[in-house]
Amino acid sequence: MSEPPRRRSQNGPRLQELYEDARRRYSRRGVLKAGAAGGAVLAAANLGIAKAQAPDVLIKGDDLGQALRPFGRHLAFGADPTRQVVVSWQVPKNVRNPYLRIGTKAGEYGEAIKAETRALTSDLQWQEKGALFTVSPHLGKAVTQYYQHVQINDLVPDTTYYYVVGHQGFEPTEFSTFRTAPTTSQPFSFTAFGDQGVGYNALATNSLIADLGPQFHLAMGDLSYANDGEGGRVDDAFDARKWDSFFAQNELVAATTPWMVSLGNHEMETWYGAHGYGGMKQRFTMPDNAWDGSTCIYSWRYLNVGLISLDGNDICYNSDANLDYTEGKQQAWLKTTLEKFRKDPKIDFIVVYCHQCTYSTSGNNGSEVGAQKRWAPLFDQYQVDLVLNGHNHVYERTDPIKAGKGTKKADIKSTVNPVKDGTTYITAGGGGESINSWQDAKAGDSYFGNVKDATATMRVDQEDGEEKLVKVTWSRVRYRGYGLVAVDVTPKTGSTPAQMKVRALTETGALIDELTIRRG
Amino acid sequence: MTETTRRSLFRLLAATAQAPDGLKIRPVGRHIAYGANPEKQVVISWQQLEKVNGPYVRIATEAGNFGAKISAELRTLKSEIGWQEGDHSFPPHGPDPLYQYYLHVKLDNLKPDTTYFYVVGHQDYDPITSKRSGETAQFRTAPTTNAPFTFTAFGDQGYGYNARKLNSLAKDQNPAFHLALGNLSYAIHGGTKNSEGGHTDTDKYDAARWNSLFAQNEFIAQNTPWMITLGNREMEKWYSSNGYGGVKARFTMPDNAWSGSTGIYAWRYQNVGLISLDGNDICNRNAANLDHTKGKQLTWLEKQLADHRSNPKIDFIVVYLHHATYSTGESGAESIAQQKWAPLFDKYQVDLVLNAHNRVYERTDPIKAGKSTKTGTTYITTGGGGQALDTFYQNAPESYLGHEDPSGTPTMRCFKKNSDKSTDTKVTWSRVRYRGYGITAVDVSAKTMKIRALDEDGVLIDELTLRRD
Repeated sequence: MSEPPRRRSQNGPRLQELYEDARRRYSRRGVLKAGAAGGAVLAAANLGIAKAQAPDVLIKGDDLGQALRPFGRHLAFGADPTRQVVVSWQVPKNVRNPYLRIGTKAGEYGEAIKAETRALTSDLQWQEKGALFTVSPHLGKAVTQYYQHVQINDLVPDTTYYYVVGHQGFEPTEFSTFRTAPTTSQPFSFTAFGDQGVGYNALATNSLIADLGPQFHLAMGDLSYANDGEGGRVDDAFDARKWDSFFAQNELVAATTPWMVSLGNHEMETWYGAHGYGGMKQRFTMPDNAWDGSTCIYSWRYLNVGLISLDGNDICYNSDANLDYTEGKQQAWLKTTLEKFRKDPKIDFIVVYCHQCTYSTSGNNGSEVGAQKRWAPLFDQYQVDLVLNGHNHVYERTDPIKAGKGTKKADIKSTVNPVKDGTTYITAGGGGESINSWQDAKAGDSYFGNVKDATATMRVDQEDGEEKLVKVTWSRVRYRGYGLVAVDVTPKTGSTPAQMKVRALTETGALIDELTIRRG
Repeated sequence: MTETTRRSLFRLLAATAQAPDGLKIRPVGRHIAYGANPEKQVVISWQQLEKVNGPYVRIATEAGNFGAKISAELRTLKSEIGWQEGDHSFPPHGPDPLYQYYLHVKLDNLKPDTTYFYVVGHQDYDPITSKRSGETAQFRTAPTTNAPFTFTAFGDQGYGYNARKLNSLAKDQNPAFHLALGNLSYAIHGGTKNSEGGHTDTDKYDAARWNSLFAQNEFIAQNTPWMITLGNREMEKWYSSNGYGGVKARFTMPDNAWSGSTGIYAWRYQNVGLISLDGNDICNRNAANLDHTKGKQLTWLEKQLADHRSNPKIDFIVVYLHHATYSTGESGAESIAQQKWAPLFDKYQVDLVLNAHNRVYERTDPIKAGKSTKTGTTYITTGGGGQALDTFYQNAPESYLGHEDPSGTPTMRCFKKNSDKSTDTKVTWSRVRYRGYGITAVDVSAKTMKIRALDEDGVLIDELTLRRD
């Protein structure tokens, strides 16, 4: 194992001293030590320990909150996942000197790296309609959430790192891990769903991700449902602290698995400014490399897959609060990026992910005329292999589509060739919040073990608001249930071309759909 | 074909289609409890979202050096979707009914005052090789000789951001155990006001909320024995045993009052004798289980109090339950508790009664024979565990540390049987009232118990020291 990178905190050695001092003063927790021989990982994992005893520190005055523990750790890759990872978490108060320590062995961590604190204040007045629990009369006029972020840019590729997060007065005993992307081709997996929300279905789908152990997860918008309205409206029902529940719930997976988000309509929290994305900017650190100030619009590459996250609110006529807010910038950037990706010899597959549906036959949110007219021609031109989205709370896979038409019937467990056949569109909106229905209920479900091919109806709301219904034959797999999509990517070996095997699984792991995507 | 076999078939097909090794179904919601003798007895419980084969626990006194597999007892709980009104849509393909698989391992021969590490797994899931952090949890048995310790308590927790915060605060107190004073999950999330629970016709029920609760609480309950008592919302009448069939599948409490008692038990941790009572047995307002023990609980209580008080190892007696004996909260106090239990609390000098039900914090002056005294029993309502807040009856003002307010007329209401009508009494014993979320922490040493009430941010709102000379 390679040595952990040596680093000095931004504050020089002071932070470490402060931290040592804090540890002496608040010494009721076990001291973090290197693990003993013969069980380093487990020993470090178990330093929570301590005999039951009365606390020797009363939390009060200036120290209020200093002893309260971090929660909701979540990771993200930077644009270069071989070297860049962001560790983010939340603390219940404005703690002093929040920090991250990392190492390549459990229990052996480098110096504290100071975190960037992003405070997010939400007036209770905004939340009168949406509050999930009685608001304590002692709360004041607003709630403030303190998000911490550390961006690390110089990691060693293909390496497992152990990390802990803490702050003055709180010495971490629970570690987590992440693994940087390799530089040489090898198989890997990723998972995806949208519309997760908070609750027992989300627990089940998260648990399945944990079982699958992907290299990263794509969370395709409508993340927490803190905004339970349409999105982008000041009268939307809102409870900012639902994000606390969301991050606590997802820590199970997101503390070890980079959680790459795109924006849904429920992420338009209009109270915060920045097109309602002010909250998202505090909570997450995505690569956001489309242009200076882009939010959750970014591209990155993991081994032989080029990934692009789009903001569907920019092209959405149904929830139109942010329609065209990028003033064409996203469109221009998408074209440039697709062109660059398709030329990149390291990239076999291009995967685009966003919240809204380019093609779907669920009636709840329909399909986006904006995506069909503006994006799909580019997807055709640059042979995008797979488009993943949420928005409609169902699973649906299309036959490969080119110029708006299905090009061939792609049965479950068949193989498609995007070069010839076009782009496969998958709606995976069964992340947990609820289940939607089909525009034409008669089309019904059709999935592995229960195939019932049918003509389905797509609703596309037009620019002028008129509802257009289109009969389509490309709706190949339809399933109303909770679940996720798992993509197993295999590199080219010898004469065998690279492939992506796409599987749809229910929340308990049952197979719903499988498709192999192979180029050439 | 039933839903279960359909899904099993799916998994089989998935397996033949090169399913990844991953589909091995990780355990969720680990929670532990003490047995009646916490020096030697601990129960490890958890849940599987799908049925698994060969569930087990492995324990060790040195991390990593785990012993042989100890088989777990599987308790399957079946809930029809037709009973339920969910927080999320029930998908058309099922499951219907919903099955919850709870696993329990009773450990009876542990060494006192010892930290044990444990992992849970099953035939297709080995926690040792999973390489996932957080697989190993731990607990500590009670010592045999007195040493200071802390325990925490709250009721009416539910699932959500308040509950998460209070779990974190409780964990910060490093308690030896936690008392969860009923209305645990709010799986019964609606019904007739003040009469939720015990009514299949009016209760709104969502069984899977228990999954959320256990997942939420695993953070603390995997290491800290989580001792529960029954609230009105634990009367899930669709299940057998007075509606306690669900609780019996999910939890393993000492339940040593009599063969088949549920949530009624006595135990001792060092110099504290603890007694958990079922307040549904004496509750007038929601009489669904009123007198369901047919006097057994009362008889047992007297015998148990006598046992505890005559035990030379016990300094303090703490009784805990969901319903309030004395409170000025909106949801009232129980007149039957006052008539039948309080005289026993007086007679055997119970030091502290902890309850919830009213979702506020309230502490009484010491009470004897229903009146304030200097040497009687202190009653504390600590119902701000997260789900919601109530008000004080007739809006008596709050009064707490740094904000003492002697004005107003705290009034106790006692409901009549199955009725919204109440008998109201102005009282002088309501010493501390706080309408907010929070926990109660009790720091025990040889001859004192220091009680601290903390608000959700950890700020002290009440402190009282009980001393037996």
